[in-house]
Order: sequence, then C-alpha cells, then structure tokens
Amino acid sequence: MTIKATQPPSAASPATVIIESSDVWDMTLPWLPIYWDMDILRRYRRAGYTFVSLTLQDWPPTFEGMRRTVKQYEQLAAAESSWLTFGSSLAEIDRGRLEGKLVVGLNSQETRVIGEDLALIASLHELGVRHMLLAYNVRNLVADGCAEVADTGLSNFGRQVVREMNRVGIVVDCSHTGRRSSLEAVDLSDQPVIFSHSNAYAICPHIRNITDEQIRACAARGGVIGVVGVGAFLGDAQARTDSLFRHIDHIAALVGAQHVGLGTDYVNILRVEDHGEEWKRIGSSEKSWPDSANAWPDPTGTQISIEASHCFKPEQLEDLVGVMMGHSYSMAEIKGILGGNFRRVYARAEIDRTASQ
Amino acid sequence: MSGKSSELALQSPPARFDFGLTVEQEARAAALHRRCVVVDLVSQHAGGALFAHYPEELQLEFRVRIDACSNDMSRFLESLYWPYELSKTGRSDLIRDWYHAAGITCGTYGIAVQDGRDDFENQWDAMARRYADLPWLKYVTTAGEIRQAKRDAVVAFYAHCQPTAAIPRDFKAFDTAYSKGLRSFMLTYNLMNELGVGCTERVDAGLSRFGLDVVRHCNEIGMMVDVSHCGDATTLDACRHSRHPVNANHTAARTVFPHARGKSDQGLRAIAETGGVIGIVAVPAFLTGAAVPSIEHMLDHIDHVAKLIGWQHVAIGTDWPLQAPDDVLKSILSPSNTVLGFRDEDRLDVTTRLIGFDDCRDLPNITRGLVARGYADEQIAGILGENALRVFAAVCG
Repeated sequence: MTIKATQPPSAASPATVIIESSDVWDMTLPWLPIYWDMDILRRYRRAGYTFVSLTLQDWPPTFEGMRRTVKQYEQLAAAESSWLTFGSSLAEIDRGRLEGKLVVGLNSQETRVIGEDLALIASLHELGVRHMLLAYNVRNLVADGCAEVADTGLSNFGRQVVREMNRVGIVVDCSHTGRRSSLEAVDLSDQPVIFSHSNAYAICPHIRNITDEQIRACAARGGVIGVVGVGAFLGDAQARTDSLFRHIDHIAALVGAQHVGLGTDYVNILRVEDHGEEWKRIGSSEKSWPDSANAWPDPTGTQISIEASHCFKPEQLEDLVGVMMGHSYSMAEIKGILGGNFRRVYARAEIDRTASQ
Repeated sequence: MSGKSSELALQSPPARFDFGLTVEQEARAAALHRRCVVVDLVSQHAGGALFAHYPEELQLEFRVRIDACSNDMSRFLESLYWPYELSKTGRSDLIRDWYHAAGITCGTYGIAVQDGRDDFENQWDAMARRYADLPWLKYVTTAGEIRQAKRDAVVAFYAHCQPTAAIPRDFKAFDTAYSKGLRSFMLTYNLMNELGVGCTERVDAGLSRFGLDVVRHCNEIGMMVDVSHCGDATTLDACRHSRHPVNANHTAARTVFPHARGKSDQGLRAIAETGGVIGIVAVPAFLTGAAVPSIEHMLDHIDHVAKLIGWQHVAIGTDWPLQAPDDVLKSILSPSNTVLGFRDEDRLDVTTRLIGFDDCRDLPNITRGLVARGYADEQIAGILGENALRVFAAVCG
C-alpha cells in the first residue's frame, strides 16, 4: 500500500486493470437487518465488485419475513440509486454494471422460508432470489445440515424442492448443507449446483468446508465453489489473502479454475462484536442457530472459533488478484474466478428456465 | 344410513367376535374388562360407525354442517368433535354411552407443538379445549388422575402430539404445549422433519442435533417420547439417548407382517430396554395382508411382542377406526396421504376395519381375545392398561 501511494493515481496496477474489466461477484454477503450499513456496500463498489448476492431474510426464516425485509431494504436503497441498484436477471446485472453501479441480488440461506409449500419457490424467484441453501447447519424438512452427525440424504420433499428450484430457475446452493445431502442434490439436479461460500476441507478441516469428493462432484456437473473469507473456515484467524488463495488453488488444481468463485461472507464477522447481544438473542430463541455447544461441533479439535476470526475484506481483492497473477493464473482463469464462473451458472439457469416455459 | 335411536344402539352392540370361549371364560373376560384400567394410548374417538346411530334429524343436521365446511380437513375436524358438541349442549350423549360400552378408562386427544401461526392447528387446539368441561370426560396429565377417573366412572383423555407440520425450533413451544396438557410427543410423522426421519422416507438416519435436544428436553419436563412413526435409525437413536422410557404407542411388529409402520425386532427390543411400551394398532393395513383382516391379526402382533420382549411392554394403541363417515374419510385421506407420507405400497385404506373391531365398543373383544390366547389375569391387566400406566407414572407422575 505504501508503494501505491507513491505512484501517480493514473498508473493503475495490472490487478486493478483486470478488476475494472471484469464481472466481479461476491456470492454471499449476509444482510440481516442488524448489519444494514450502506458504507459496507460502498466499500464493495470502491474495491471493484460489480455484483453482490445479499442474504436478506428474517430469522427464524419465513417467507413473509423475507418479503418484508426485502421491501425495507428497497426503501433504504432507494436513496442510494445513483450508485446502487437491484438486479436478479443477467440483463439487469449487466445493465447495472454498464451504468457503473453496484448490483445487488438475493439469496436465501435456508429452505425453511418455503415451509412445506413448493409453490413458494416460484414466489421466491419472483422476489428476486436466485440461489438458495438447502439447509443451514442443521436438519430441516429438505436436507441435513453440515453440523449433523447423522449425515442423511435428501428427504422425499427435498427431492421435490430441488426439482422445483431447477424448474423455476433458482440455483441449488449446498453451502452449510450436509455431505450426503449435498452429493445427492448434485446428482439429482438438472443444472449445476453451487457451493456459494465454502472452503476446502483438505486445507482446513472444518465442518463448514467441503471434501474433495464434494468438490469433484460439484465440478463434474458444471458447478462452482465460492471460497469464503471467514478466518475459521480458512484455517487462518487473520484471514490473509494468501490463505484465501490456498483454497482457490486447491480447488483449481483439483477440478480446474473454471469451478472457482468468491463468496466471502464478509459482514458475518465484521459486525459480530457490535452485535453480540443480537447474536445471543438469536442463539437462545433458536436452537438451529449455531452456538459452540450445539451446532458447531469440532470433530477434529482443530477448528478456530468464529469469534476469534477476522474475515477477508473487500479491500483485499486487488491483493488477491495480484497473488493469482503471481502464481501464473491466466487472465481468463482470474476473470472466471472473479465472477465469470458464477455468471455462467446463472446464465445456464436462465436458459433452462426459458426453455421450460 | 339407518335411523336408529341412541337407545336402540345401546341395546344392540355390534356382533361380538367368536373366539370360541366357554361360558366361564366369557364371564372371566367380562369381569376383567370391568375391573381393569383400560388405556387406549392412541384412540380415535368412538369410530365412524357412530354417526349412523343418531336419530335421523341429527344425522341430517350433521350433513348440513359437514356440507358447510370449507375444506376436507374442516369436515374431518367437525366429525371428530360434533358428537361432543351434542353432549355439551344436552342433545345427545351417544358418544358417552359408546365409551361406557367400550369400558374405556383413558383415551386421547391430539394437540400440536406449534407457534400459534397455523390457523388449522389453532382451530384444532381450541376444539379440544372446548370439551374439557364435559361432566363425563376428564382431561388428565398424571397416572393418578387416570386411576381416579376409573374410580369416578368417567372417561379420561390425555393429550398427545403427532407432528404432521413443521416443529418450531424453540423449546418454548414444547413448554406451552406441555402446559396445555401434552404428555406424549412423537418425534416424527412418516417423513423427515427437523428432529428425525420417519418410517416411509427414502432415507433412514438418526436424530438431528435438535432432535436429540428435544428428547433431552422431554426428559427434563416429564413428557413421554414416542417413536411410533419414526424410521429404524431414529427409533434406535431415541432409545439410546432418552433417560426415560420411550414408547411406540401405536405400531405393529414387522416380523409378523412387513409394513413400514411396524417395528423391527431390534426396535422392539430397544424400546423394551428403556422400559417403554408398544401399543398395538387396530389398523388393518399395518397388521396383515389378509383379504379379511380381523382382530385375530391384532392379537398375533400382541403375541409376538409379548414373546419377544415380555407382556410388560405390550399396550393398546388402536388409532382406528377414524371417527368420520366413510365419504368424509375418503375425501381427506387420499390427498393428504401424499402430504403425510403414506405411499401406495402402504395400502392405507381409511374405510377398512378389522372384523371384531368396528368401533370403540369392541374394546372388550381384545380382552376376550387375550383370554382365548391363554394370558393370565395379571398379563391381561398389564396389556389393557397397567403397563401404559407404569410408563405414564414414571415419566409424567
């Protein structure tokens, strides 16, 4: 950074040039109302991101609560329309980028928002949701979560949910989902399945990370894995850029760089100190919410606690591109990792949706 | 439908099943049934045959009410509670008379573990509460109250829960249901839920973390844990982790007849090891593939379980026949089976009944059948109610 300060502002670094000419997507920014701070989105835009997928929902998650939260957010964002816009289709995402705006889309980190009502999946699509986790750490009516010892597969209802997500064009997302359930979802889905924010278990043995078997299965069907910036999942409490790169590099070496993306999960950690009381409220009212005694088991005894973790920051993006260049990643590979790969999955979902109608 | 009056109905109980008992055996069975505490761990009220025994004008009124219901589940709910409403308003005590003819001491009513957001569950709970003050019916929460009901010659009802909707992940919902009288909670219905995996699911797995917490919470507050509809792994897991007896209050033995709703011998043994009881159903589809299912098939299951794990672990949980006219049952069960997780191969025909168990008034046939099969008085008393009471007292007080 000190070196940069001495350079004239016009002499952009090669990394910046790549960033500025790319789709740069972060597939997971948790955005419960307790986090709402437009400055964070400004930082994303300044760092060069073009698209951020927000988790906008209430907790415990309900459809009505999600709709309400989205409406509240829209009101808040209306005042920022000079640089911020909403986009769920690729056309909207591209238009926003051309206008120089940061585009935000929607995800859901639970299928509990639909309860037992398959029809709500189409309603979620209408609302703008484009990827949805099957389960969040613990078992629901659809699948097992990654913290479940029983590690069961998809339920009968879960299979219907995957098929309906395929039909309406919501990408199946298996982050936080149990191993067997995720492998079954990849197998069953007609479209590529993603892990929007998961790291490699081989590098960091944490329940939230995914095994090489899951990575291979996901990639074999055209899916993409977004590496997550949370220190506990990186195996580096400081969340250094090199640590994030190790996960990128492991996945790229295993299945190819075209199956890697970013899902940093940033705010989750940034604000945890400020909102300790809120987290406690969620934790005590809801057993599903992870607490150290319940939903974050540490089978290897090596996991770094989330509370002690930092998170990969938007400002580290340029650094990350530099590291990838330093490791001889090609321009095409880097652009894919920055956003092109997830864009490909979105495009496939849109094409299939159009074809089915 | 015939237009018999309630007096006539009392004078003409259903044809009794021919077990070939001697006069002495008949007398012994009758005396035993009168003397024993008779507990049906999952009763379905008096049975669908009841409606044909009301006077014609009440039958017509019932039809009008049924037709006015906006959906099939409301029709079912109306069928369950209309007979109690007639008693409450002093127009007919037919259902009370049938219960007395059944010699039943304790039956059940269903309530939900819920967060108050589901209209149907709220309606269901409100219905149950409405009849809590009938003079001949007493809602109970302890084994002592069940015995007192026997002494007072009133019918005791305890509340159980079969979760067919999502369970709130909040212990407060369990505590609320407990305060409303809930004393038996079944962990899953047929499908996978947040707690465990049901018996007709494509997958078979143990309890979830939340499911394990719920078992422990039930242990803590004094709620019976039930695994009737649970799959094999969840059944075993619940037995492994519960500190108190675990029941399967309405099931069958899969060794006698292969059906998803039955328990394997391993499952039966695990339940017995917790000190719990197995309530045997009167649901034909779970008991036999015979063209003419009868109460003998139900007794075959009782025999198997008693031989395998001891008569001290056998109880009655008929769950059958459902109390609604056949046309109402057909209209609700077929679409809801998909939601509830009954598959074609489970052959659940809602209007088929066991010969010898047409309605609640046939409960004495179980006692007669046990006499016919050579059970001793103590064993019959155990199966009819004492075994269930033992668990009730141990868990709920």
